[in-house]
Amino acid sequence: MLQELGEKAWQAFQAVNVRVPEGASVAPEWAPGALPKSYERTRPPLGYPRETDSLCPRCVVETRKAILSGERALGELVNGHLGEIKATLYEKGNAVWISKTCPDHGSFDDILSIDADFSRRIEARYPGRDFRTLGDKLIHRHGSSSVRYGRGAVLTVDLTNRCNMMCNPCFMDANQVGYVHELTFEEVRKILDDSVSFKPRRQMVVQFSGGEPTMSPHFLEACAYAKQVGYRLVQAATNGLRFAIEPEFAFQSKEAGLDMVYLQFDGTTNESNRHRHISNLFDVKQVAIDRLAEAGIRITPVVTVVNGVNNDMVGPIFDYTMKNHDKMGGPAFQPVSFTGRDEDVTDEARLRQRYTTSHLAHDLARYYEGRIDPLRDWYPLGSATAVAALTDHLKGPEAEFGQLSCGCHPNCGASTLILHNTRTNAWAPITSFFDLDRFFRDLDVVVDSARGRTLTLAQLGLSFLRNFDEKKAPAGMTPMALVELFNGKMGGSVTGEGAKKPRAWRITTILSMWFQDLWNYDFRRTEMCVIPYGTQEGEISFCAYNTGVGWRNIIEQMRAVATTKDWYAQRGRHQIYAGNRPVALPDALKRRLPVVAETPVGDAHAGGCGTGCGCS
Amino acid sequence: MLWGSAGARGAPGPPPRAPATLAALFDQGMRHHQRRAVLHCAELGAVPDWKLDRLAIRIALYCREKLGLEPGSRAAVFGRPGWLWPAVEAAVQGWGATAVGIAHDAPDDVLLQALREAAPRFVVATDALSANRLLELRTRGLAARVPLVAPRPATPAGEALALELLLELGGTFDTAERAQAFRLMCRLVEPETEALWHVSASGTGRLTHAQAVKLVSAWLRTKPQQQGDVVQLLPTRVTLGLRVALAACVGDGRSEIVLGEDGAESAARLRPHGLRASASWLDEACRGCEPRWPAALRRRGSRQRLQHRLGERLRWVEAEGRVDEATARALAAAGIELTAEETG
Repeated sequence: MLQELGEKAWQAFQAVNVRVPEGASVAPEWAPGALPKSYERTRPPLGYPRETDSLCPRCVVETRKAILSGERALGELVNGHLGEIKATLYEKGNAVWISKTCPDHGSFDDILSIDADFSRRIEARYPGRDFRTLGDKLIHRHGSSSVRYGRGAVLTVDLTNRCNMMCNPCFMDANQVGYVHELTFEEVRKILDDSVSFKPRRQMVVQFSGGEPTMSPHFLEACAYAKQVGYRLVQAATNGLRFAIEPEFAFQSKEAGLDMVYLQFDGTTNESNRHRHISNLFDVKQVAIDRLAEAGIRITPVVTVVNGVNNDMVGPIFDYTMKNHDKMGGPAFQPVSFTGRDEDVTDEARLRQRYTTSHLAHDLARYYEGRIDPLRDWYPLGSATAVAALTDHLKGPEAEFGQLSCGCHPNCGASTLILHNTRTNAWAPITSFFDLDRFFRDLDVVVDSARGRTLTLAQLGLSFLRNFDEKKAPAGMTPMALVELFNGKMGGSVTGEGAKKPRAWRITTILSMWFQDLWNYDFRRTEMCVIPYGTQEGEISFCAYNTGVGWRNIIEQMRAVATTKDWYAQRGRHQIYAGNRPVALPDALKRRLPVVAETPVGDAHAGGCGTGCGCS
Repeated sequence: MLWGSAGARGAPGPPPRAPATLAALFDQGMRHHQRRAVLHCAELGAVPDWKLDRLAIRIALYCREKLGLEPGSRAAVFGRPGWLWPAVEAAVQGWGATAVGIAHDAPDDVLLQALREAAPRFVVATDALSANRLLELRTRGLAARVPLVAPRPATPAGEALALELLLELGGTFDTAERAQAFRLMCRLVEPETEALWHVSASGTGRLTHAQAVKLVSAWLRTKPQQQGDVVQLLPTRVTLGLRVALAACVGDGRSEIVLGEDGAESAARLRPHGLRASASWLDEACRGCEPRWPAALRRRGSRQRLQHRLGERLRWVEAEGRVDEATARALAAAGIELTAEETG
């Protein structure tokens, strides 16, 4: 009934709305210009087959070595097109492949999707990308690898490449690369200051990473400074060890400004974590999770998934996050990316272990027996652009920052929104009762018409009503409750930041973030990267930094502070947990403390100074 | 008053108890607190608890690793009042060592005698002038060549360790395991352990942790702190009373200490709830506010004038030295409790 009412009201409203000229989009100071209408947003080439620009996996490695050894100049990387070749993305059977040929090294093929229908659906749901960047020449200056569109959702800053674990393989850890690359606090400040120096100036999640970022002496200061610059969300990509071993650190991190952690999380048992060479690693993670949750820091478990190795854990991991919903959000699955020393992987191993977003969608569909449907329930990460556009419109020209906008390429990742009742633990994809496709199209209509706040919110309310199928919605879930949940996700811009969240309900997500490697590299993705690295040499797309031409190796070696050996000689060693030994957790270090009597308030003057210091 | 009852967060570690030592008091204040910042000063700006805690841990770890600080040893802090005093004291006392505090205006003979007697493992000079003075005494062969840490090392290079360098290397030493080891040591220090010396022109006092905590408790009894209290400290020099006040305000988890900020206009701006200043400063601040009429005939004017001048929230004042009669009357009329630190 409500849905029918909403539908009729929406149609009636739009019958008038289309006859009134669209309002002018606001042009806030943070943006390079007026907010684009949905039909003004640009898109990369999509659909299959298509051609794109990629890299030869062999040429790139040779070029990187030549630059690091000094045989070739860094300028050639910036101004040339070293190792670049064309690639074709095409359907074969019901799969999607990428194929490319290097005149020197032959052909390279890899699978992009095991379900072409899934991939086409994801691409069709992509709403378009953000503004081109403006005033960023000093920050985005990496030739073909330069970020050209948008302002991203996450700015990653590697504070140090030192780590307190010895995972194998790891292409970042100082112990394994032989040099220490660690930012000074002044360098951290400059990276963050530069990040708000050009347009569009959007909110981003500032993510401190490494190595292990909590090893950096500037970790807490860096969190505090990110907040000072104006960012609302600060997170750390961490193995969690410090939070487990030093419980106070979680509370100090929260006070300094840390809001969330991306917690390395490979499985729900010690056995499933054995490749990290700490025998009680899952126990340690549990302690870290407890400490972080006590301190009020949100946790996203991050799982690297390798086909045939741990992809059977994707369902149990989601179950674990739901069981511990009071402490953590939904998981971020990261299909394996063959980078660093994994660039030596054989073709056979690569194809066997390759895991994609489509694999994840199908593994979860199988595990949950169809409750999560690959075609109905998965959306590109960039679909949030429509919501960001609405928030920007509602916040108006006075906003200091634009809304966080995850407008990445549809091949970069996807997610599904899960509605969860925390009392009964029942859950369902939102798309099982809410027409999200039509809702996003409605948002475009609402934002394009650019009415005032009241009419915008009225349209939004009608859209919620008309897309909400009461017959299929979980018991107790109402359109208003769903609005409140979305309001929370939109930073309070709909019903206000102080609005009450519905009790017992929450929205969680299952994320797939699929980083590239040399075999599936696509410049159309890197140029609209939304998770760049902030470095001493400007902001670089995630994949161009970690793989691609290898900006990480180049910058870290260029800016190395010392060899690892010299570092240890001058500054001493830190504890490294490896060799399949357990981590001693705080309970194991308990000492017997002297017992000192407490003095209740009423007895403050009853004998002695009243503080229990022992005087009388 | 319950120790640690300021704690809004369920901090980990032992639950709040009446601390028996200064080390435990500091540890507790860092874990159980509810304030935006523990300290405000010109050099560092607003210092939240986590930052002060980290500073103390890093100083402690460096000094143990590189300067031989260990339980039962002594380390000297010499110079003008500043944020280094509470940080270094916490670092030294946390290891079960003695913090030998020397006021910057102690005469040469008193300073040298204290250094000879204490035989500290190292000296931290809290300001450049004090560092230069020590270096000069050393050059004249009067002071032993004990490692000296200074905010800005004097020339020639190599004569003093730059504080910035100590903190940088201390930052690398500041790992989870070492920080936890230091915290455990803080909690293990025995009350009868010697905590501090205070050296000034008028003599040297020595206190155990138990004795020092007794002074802190007494201070807090006469100046009970409430959550959100701003305590402005305007010391002309470091006295035992100042060290007690700092320990109390840092440890109780409630007060925000403003250190330095001279001038009466700063009080009007900061609006402190408590104020510690020299007698001469207070006499000047209260000038013209003494009541001229008996209480029964008194208008509210003078009280309002003084409160307005000092930020309108002032509940107590602690004077270094003896204030004028007129000042005492003005404070009394304004409802501000006055205590005095008679000795340094």
